Amino acid sequence: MSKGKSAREEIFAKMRFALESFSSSPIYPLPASAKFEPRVAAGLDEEIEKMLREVTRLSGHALKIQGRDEFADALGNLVKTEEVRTAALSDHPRYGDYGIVDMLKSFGVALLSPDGDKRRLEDCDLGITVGDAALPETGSVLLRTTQGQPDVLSLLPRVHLVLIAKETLLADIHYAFTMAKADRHFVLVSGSSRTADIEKVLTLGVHGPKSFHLWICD
Amino acid sequence: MKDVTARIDFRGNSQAVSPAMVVATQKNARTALMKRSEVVVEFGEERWQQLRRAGREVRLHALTHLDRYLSMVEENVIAAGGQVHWARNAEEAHRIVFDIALQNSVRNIVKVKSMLTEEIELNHALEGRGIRVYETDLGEFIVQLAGQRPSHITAPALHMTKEEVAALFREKLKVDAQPDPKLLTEIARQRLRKEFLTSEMGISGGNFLVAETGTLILVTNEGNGRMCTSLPPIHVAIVGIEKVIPDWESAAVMLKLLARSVSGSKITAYNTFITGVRKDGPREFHLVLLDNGRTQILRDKMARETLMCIRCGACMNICPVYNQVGGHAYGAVYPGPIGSILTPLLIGTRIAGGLPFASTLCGACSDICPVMIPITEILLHLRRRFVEGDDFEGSSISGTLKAIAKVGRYVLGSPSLYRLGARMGKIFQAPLRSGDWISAMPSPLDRWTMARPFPAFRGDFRGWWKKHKDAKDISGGKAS
Repeated sequence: MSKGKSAREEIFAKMRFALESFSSSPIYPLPASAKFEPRVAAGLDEEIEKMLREVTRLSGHALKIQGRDEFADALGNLVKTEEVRTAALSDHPRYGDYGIVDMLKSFGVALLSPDGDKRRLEDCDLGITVGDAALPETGSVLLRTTQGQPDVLSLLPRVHLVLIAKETLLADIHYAFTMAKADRHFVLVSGSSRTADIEKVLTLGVHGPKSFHLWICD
Repeated sequence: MKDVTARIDFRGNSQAVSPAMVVATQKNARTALMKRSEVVVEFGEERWQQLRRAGREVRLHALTHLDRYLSMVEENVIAAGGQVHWARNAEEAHRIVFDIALQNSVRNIVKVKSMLTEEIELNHALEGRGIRVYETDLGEFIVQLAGQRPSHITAPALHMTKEEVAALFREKLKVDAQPDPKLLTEIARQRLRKEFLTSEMGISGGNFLVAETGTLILVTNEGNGRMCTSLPPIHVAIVGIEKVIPDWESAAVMLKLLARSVSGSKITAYNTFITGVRKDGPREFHLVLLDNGRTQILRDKMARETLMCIRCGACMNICPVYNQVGGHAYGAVYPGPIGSILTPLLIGTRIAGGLPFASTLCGACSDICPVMIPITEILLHLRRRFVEGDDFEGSSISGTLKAIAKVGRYVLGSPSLYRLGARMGKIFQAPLRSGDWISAMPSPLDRWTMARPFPAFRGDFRGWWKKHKDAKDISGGKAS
């Protein structure tokens, strides 16, 4: 065929030729029939309960935490049960309120920087992130990738703890997209890394974290 | 198109299927379908049907304006610092990827499972040029080690037992592997961590491309998709041109449909959204947009909806034929009902024309398809193409068969010739007949008797009719 044409030109030419036969008056933009009503949220308490339930269903550990003392208890518990010796955390301002850094130090946990050499995070036991939004419908957390909260922080450490503020619960994935669609990179995380590739047996922790904790804090 | 490729022999392939394969296939299908129906009930059956209709509209609309949306994708990816490449066919895609690898002295590549790269046999091409490619999805890793082909598009190693996987790991990885899925998974984790951290390039496919922002959506459960697209300094995504969707509203619709249809999960563990190049991510992002026969499918009014497929695998799980033979019988990358239409459309009915006949036309696939692809209608269309030929391909059946069919039409259309034929049949069958059955017929009629005996010509309807047409007991048969 036309040897002089670039691949791009030829693909477009073929596409346009094919599309001529599609419809005499194609509708543009997207018709209303292609839209779907987003889910409507229940009351806040109900949404929180749903979030906790869905995360548990995904084999994650979910907690509702009130106040600094409860937070310290939960963190101490997590450090003990998951045998955490090293941790890395996001630079999100929320940590300041709770003084997580001091808490972790008091539990004897060494802190690593989340940015810089990615390889070091590989040996890290615990990665702590702050969710930008949470979706009770599916038990998902929206993590927008920033320099202080890189993608690998919720991926390489053995245990992932994500902190969620009650106000960030969203009824539908649609709203999460509205929030983050202009970002260069973001992820929706739902539970821990999983597979059922061998004989359909659910196995957690294939390549990502082996255990997933989500705390809804006020 | 390649002309020296053997025809896919579905019948032969299906006879080689082991009983264990069938058991595993059915177990996988049963689990997925059961979970799927649970989440659909929770979602609300009526809302689910609305969602399917919306998904169908999104995909159909995107195809109707494919050129416009692809231009948008291209523009937005470039604006975000990425590079866009166009490939007409597999060879061009290979060359593009290889050139990027060469320019960056890439020796090792980590790869996310992708049907498209299976379709173009990318690993084979790269390894032929001295580059190591590591499949990182557990199932795909197993299949790659075993030198096999995936048997299901979302559960590639479903045909292997844990004992087989353990033996494979012992042999190929030289490790002490026990037949326990958790321990085996841990071995793969350890093994691949190193590659994630040291490989110079990550290759992925893409589940969707959002035109509005030029975003690549990648859906994985294991986390390997995130590893491959975050850790290596170069990320190459190879995506079929049909994968584009208009905007983020449609992305929400499609993701709701996808996870529920694949495995009955409400959502996949990790959904990654990548737009061009970001700080602290790979320093280069390449998007390779591949045609490889897709514009040709788009031209075919009867078959173009095949391109709406989102590769969920639900049609396989529900298919009574697939569940009897497993994925390998289809002899191609895409198995099951969608494979039976996609494969012949991509590589021609001359090679894959048998596949549309490997169906009962029960319609379960069209009923379960999240974007309502009329698979049965397209199967019929391709059967017709195989036999009669159409604007896209000539007929694929032999001249002898066609001549026989022509003679047959003439004979059956004339009462006197028909009567003569019926009488001849009775005479010629004599040497073959044993009792009421003919157990073996000469070629090409032996295709029938290989599978089952043929009933001998016995009665004579015309004679019977003449005798009974005035009698009263003609209707029931029960009175006589």
